[in-house]
Amino acid sequence: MSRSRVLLVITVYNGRAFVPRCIASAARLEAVDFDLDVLVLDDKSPDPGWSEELESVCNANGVGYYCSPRNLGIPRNVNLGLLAAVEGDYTHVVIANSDVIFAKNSIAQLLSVCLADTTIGSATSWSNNVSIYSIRNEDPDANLADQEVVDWVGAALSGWYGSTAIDIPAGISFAIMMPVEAVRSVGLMDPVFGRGYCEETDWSIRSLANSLRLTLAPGAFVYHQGQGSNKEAGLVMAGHTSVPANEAIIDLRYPLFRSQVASFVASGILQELHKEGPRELVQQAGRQFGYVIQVGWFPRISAPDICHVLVNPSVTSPTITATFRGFTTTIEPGSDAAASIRRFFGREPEGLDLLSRGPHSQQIAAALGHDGPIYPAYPERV
Amino acid sequence: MANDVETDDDRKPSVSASELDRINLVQALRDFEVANARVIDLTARLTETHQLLINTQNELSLTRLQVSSQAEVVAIQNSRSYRLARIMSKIAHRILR
Repeated sequence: MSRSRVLLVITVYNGRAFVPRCIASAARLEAVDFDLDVLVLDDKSPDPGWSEELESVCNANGVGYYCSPRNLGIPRNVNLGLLAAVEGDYTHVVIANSDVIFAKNSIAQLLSVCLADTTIGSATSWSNNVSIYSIRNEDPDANLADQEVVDWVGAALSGWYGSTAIDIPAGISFAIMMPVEAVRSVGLMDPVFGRGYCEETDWSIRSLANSLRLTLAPGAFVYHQGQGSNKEAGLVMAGHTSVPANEAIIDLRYPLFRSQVASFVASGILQELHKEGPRELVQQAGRQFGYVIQVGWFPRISAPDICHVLVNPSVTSPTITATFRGFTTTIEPGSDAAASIRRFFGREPEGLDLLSRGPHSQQIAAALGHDGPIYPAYPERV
Repeated sequence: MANDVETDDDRKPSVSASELDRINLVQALRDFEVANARVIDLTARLTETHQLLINTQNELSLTRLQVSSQAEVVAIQNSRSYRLARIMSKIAHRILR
């Protein structure tokens, strides 16, 4: 089998605040057993001096840069990238927004998914911001917008999910890989979607009609700030996450699409994914970096790089919630909360904060041999 | 969370800027052809739909007129004067027979 050649296309429109971070991330992507090229497509950004600056950022990072003579809008800019992949004899093309940070193994993961089944027409990366598929995080920008954190999340998810491909009703082009063969058979994005939004939904449904699978790759993580370029361009109105006029085109062309999405949501696959992903991340973080147990009503996040386990002191309905960098999961308390937590993480806690005097504090303190103070929720006099 | 990935020195694509210019121009011309064909098609559909709208409006107006005339007839038939005249007519008819 010949060596795969992947073209990563990053579409840019302004975005001085976040694009350099994205390009630096793309330049350091792992590509061990395939060739990876990166092409930044500047859609004639109007921000004065930005295009020149962007070109020098690309040169400094050793990635390709091209600025269109006129503004094309997202669908036609994406098409330029797809055509570059077709004409450049690449085997796979990745279309990515410029407000993302790639986990270093993300492209390798996407490729492994696409290579596993030749009927796959697209593989969408998993992310904190990928429409209904998003992995939930309390505050992604504060918790995840860091290359090392994204790399760690990517490694943890790829370790758990590997080359798993989940069939979905529509791909999301914030970071999506398509085999070039699929682009040849399905065609390009439809320019009727003007400045953008919903064009990938249209492409997705057309690819399904070509008997190609639409998949989500939960083992390929890409952080997505979201709507960076589109907010800059004034494309998305306040209070909207899409463009209603483009959604109307989808409704007109594919009247069954919304019910197909509803069926997918009702299937329970998403709920399982939303539950399993954070659980795996929190568990791996606790095992790798350690954890502290807090017995109290509210968590106190003392250090972001350690897992925090909050034992709710309610006598009637005790719960155990574990958190790491905004990802949250629950642990079944069982009859012995301390044993349940130890079993979950497979190691002893790094610390114990007893912020309640209830029976749980007493029990956990005894189970862990804690002889320090138990801090009351209220001062003694109250 | 170690940062141990080395940057690849050259990830520039095999497609040159001049080649991208050519691809961009060719695709722009194709997009123009498609957009133009769509405008022609949509204009034909619009004129057809417009004619359909005018015909439907005419039919609606006619139907409204007919409905209102019928309503007037029913109103007259239900009026006291009409019923009285009808009774009188029947009586006169009997007397004169």
